[in-house]
Amino acid sequence: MRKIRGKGLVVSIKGILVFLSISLSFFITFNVQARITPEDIVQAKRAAYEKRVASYSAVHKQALIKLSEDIAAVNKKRTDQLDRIMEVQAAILDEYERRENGKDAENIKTARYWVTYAHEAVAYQAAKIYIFDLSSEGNIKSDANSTINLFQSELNSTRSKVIYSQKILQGVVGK
Amino acid sequence: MKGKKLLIFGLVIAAVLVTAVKIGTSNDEGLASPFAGQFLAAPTKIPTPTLIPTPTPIVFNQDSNLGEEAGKFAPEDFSEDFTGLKTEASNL
Repeated sequence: MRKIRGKGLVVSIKGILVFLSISLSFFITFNVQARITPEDIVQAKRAAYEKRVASYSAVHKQALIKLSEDIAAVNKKRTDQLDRIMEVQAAILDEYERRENGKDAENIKTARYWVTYAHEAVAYQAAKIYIFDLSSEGNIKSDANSTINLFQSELNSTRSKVIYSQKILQGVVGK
Repeated sequence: MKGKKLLIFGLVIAAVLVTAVKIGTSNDEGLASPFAGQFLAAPTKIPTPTLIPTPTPIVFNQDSNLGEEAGKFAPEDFSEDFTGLKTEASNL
């Protein structure tokens, strides 16, 4: 190995340390950026909401709380119903598979996929939390309606998935 | 001189590879479902259930028509719920 003398040795070690420091800083930065969780997003939305609503009148604050609770209650009621329907669909498919005893495997697999897909969609919808995206107290009605429209669109989308899986299932077991 | 350059180059490559591996493995959730990549809005408070009711078991007779059974359990219409919520919003 060639001897590295005096100044050259110091410069080399400095160079290596600089490269290592730069690489390490990238590593730490990327690691932190990859850690935003769904809970972080909900908490950020909630913090923004609390900041806005702090300046609203007591009547409006209370009304928003009530509306938020009502949205959550409707979401729970309807997703519980849809969940029960999905359990029945899964049970019907299991019974069909038992009766077929190894036959019609492809169609059973297809139906199983869509039943699972719809069931997951119901679970996903049940876990959602709707937080008002407030602009100003003067726009409270349109802000509330925006959130309700979003909720309506998402819940109806979930309902459509349940109906679709029902159609697939009827097509398979109703032959 | 050539040796020093090679050493520095090797260190840089190693650092880049380590960073890439760490980024690639930083999210361990790896959902296989169709909803992978979409965020679930996790509740901040999870209530502890005091009693979990046993669901009614779903039983079929050997003679039951599964096609008919599948058609019975259609989701209800949700329109009334949304009408109620929108009426409440209009009273704000």
